Amino acid sequence: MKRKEIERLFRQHYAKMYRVARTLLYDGQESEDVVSDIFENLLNGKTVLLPKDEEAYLMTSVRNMCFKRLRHEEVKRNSQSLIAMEQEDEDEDERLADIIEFVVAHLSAQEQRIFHLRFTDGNSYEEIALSEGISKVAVWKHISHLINEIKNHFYPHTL
Amino acid sequence: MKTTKQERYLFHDMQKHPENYSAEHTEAMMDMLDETPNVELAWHRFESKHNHTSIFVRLPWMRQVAVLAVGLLLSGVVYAISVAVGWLPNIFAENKTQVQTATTDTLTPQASASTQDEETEVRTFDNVPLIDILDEMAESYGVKVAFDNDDVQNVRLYYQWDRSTSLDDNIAMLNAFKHIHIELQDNLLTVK
Repeated sequence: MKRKEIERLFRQHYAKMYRVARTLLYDGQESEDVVSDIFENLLNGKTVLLPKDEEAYLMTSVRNMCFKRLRHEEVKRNSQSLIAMEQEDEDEDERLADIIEFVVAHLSAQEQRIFHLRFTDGNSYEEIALSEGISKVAVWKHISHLINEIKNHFYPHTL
Repeated sequence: MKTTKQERYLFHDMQKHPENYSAEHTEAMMDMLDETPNVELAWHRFESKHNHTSIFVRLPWMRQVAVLAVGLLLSGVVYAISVAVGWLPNIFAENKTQVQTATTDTLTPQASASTQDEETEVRTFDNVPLIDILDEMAESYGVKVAFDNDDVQNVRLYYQWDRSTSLDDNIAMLNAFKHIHIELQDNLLTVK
């Protein structure tokens, strides 16, 4: 992808992508690294994005990369070997594709909306509260609940 | 900013057991997570990591002048000290006659310092006007140059030109600079 195109995407989507990463990883530097890695892959790869797919691609990528990092942390914590980690990586992409199915099947209609507002559209807690007509603290509780559900299902040993 | 293990643990615990934390604590955590990042700074970091071109040209022109002035001042001081301690000869003392007979051209600031590595075919334009860079490249690739936008003719760039790369690739690299838009059509490079 052309550098100029990368710059446009970066400036347009960085803030929302960073917000999603922080919701999952917390660490500012790690979140910045994840988002930069996605743009680096676009810069060095052959991926071509249609304008209508840009945002969905970037937001899904950041979500998936964060979950991968969480998975790696889990493997490291459990002292599994690097070889095991690489083998698990192959299954990881399939697992990540299942997250949306899991969200649809296991979360309430409101939590599905909140999931997409936060992790697909990159909205702030305040924007979600306004959109759903609930308090910010209630949004935090819903997001915490859905993250816990996803982690318990896919990454049972993660913190 | 790297977070500590304790901070990270607190975050995970707040997510796992939100009922244990006050609304005040939770709101403070949400405000922190929703802090708007400095996209400009993040882009510069990304760009400097992945682009061989300098971010110097992206600075406002007054800052460019300030950076150049400080750079010249510092190199002058370093040179004066080197002469004083005898590490370098005093070129001003030896070339007095030449200075007196110099043309007005030599009195204009010559910040350009381009170098060429013969082995790698890489030519480095250091703070060279765009017009000079394109003239040289056009000659090498056998095309002509035209400026639709005269304002950018004298924009000075730091640019590493690898002669082994195609003209199209170089245009793409140069187009990554803000305010520069070059198009190639029918052997004519047009700067818009």
